Amino acid sequence: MSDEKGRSPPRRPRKPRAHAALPGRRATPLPGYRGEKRSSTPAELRLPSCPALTGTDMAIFSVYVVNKAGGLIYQLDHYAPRSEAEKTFSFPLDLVLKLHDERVVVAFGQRDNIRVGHAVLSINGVDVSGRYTADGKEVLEYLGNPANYPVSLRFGRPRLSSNEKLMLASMFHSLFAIGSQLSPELGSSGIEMLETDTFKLHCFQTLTGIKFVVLADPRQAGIESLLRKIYEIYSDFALKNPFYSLEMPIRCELFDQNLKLALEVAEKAGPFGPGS
Amino acid sequence: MSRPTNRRQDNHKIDWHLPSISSSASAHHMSRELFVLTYGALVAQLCKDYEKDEDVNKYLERMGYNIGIRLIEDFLAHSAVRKCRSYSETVDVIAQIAFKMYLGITPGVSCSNTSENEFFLILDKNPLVDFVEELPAGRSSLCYCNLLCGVIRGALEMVHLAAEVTFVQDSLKGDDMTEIGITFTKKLEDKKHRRNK
Repeated sequence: MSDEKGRSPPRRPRKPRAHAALPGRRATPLPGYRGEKRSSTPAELRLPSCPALTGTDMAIFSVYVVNKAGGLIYQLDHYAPRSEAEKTFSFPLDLVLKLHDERVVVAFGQRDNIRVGHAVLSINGVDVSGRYTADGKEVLEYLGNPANYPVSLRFGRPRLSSNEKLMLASMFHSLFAIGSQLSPELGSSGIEMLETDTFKLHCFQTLTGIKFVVLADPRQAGIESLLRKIYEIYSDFALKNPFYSLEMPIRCELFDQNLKLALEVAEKAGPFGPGS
Repeated sequence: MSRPTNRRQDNHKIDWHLPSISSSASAHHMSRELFVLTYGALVAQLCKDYEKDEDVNKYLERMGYNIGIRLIEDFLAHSAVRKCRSYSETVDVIAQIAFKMYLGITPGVSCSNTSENEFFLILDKNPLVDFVEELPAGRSSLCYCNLLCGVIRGALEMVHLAAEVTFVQDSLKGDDMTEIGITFTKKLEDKKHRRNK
C-alpha cells in the first residue's frame, strides 16, 4: 500500500535515553533500512507504539546466566528502555497511589505518560527507595500532607531488584524443565525462544546444563550466534580463571568486558545478522 | 574498541572484533615443549612431596578432574559437537575431536569384549612423555599421565556420564602400548532426585 504523495516517514522526536549517544551513530528514520530514500511506509512494517522502542538501534536488553541448579550466576542489564515522566503536582493529588510489593505505585488516574503500575522513583529530585524517601520519611504519608506541596514527582517503570531477578531465573529454570518434559519426542532441547510483542527471550542450554538467556528486541537478529559467543566467553574468561569456583556467581572483570563488547557487536550487526 | 567498518557483514559469520585470546590449542600454536616441561615439573614436584605412588597418582587424578570440569565447556564451546547418543559415540568424540584439539594426537578406540560399557583408547603417541625414558627407580607404579584420566573423568561427569578412567597399560611401565580404559558406570540422569551432593 504505497503512499501516493511520496511523503517520507514522519521523523519521531528523539527522546533522551540512558544509552543514547554512542559515538558515531547516525539517526535513520526507521530501523532496518540503511541510507535509502524511501517514499512510503510499507504496510507490513508497523512500528511498535511503545515510545521507547522507536529508537534507531535494535537493542539487547539483558543477559542472564543460570547454573545447573537454577541459580542466577550472572546478570547484565545492557539497555533498559525507560519511559519516565516527571511532573509537578499540587494538593490534592489526582493520581491514586497505593503500596504494592514494598513500592508506591500508581493504581488509578493514568494521564500523560504516567501509567498504572508505574512506581514513584523520586520526590523533588531525591530518589525514593521502596516506600521511604532517602531521608526516611514514608512516601504516602508525605504526599498526604498538603504542607509539602507543590511537589515534583518522577514516575517510571520500577526496576527489578536483584532478589526478584534471582526468583525469575529459578522460575525460568523450572519452566524450562517442564518444557523439556512436555515434549512429545524424547531429548527435546527445551525452551529456545519466548516471544512477546515487546521482546524476545532466547535461551541456550549447554550440554552441561548451564543456560544462557538473552532478552532482546524482537527485530534483533543474530542472537543464536551471540549465545554461542557468550558460551565461548564464559568458557574462556570465567572458567579459565583459576579462582572462579563452578556454579558460583561470576565476578570476573574480563568476562564483563568481553561480554559487553560482544553485545555491542551483535547490536551493530542488526537485522542482517545470520540466523534469528 | 575499534569501530567495525561499514561493509555489509557476511551472512554466515559475524566478525566479533574480540581480542583473539581464545585458548583452544588448535587456534594457537603454543610451544609444546613448554607444556610438556611444565607437566614434567609438576609430576617431579609431586614425587618429591609425596612418598607413596598411590598418593601421587591420586593427586594427579584430582588435578586432572579439576581441569576436566572446566575444559569440557571450552571443548563444547569451540567444537560444537551435538549431544552424543551412545557411549561409543562419546568415546569416538573424545578420541577424534577432543584429543586432537588439545594434544594433537588421535588415539585409536576399541571396545571391550566382555562389557559393553568399557572402552579403550590406544595412544601410540603421547606428547606428555616425549622427554621421559622410564620411570625412576622406586616409582614403579607411578602413572605418569594420570592427569589425563582425571581430565576425562571430570569432563564426562559434567555431561552427566559417570565413568571410571584408568591406565590399563602404560608403556612407561614396560607394557607394549599405552591404553586408557574408560568404564561407564551409571548415567547421572536423575540428579534432580538426589538431594545430597
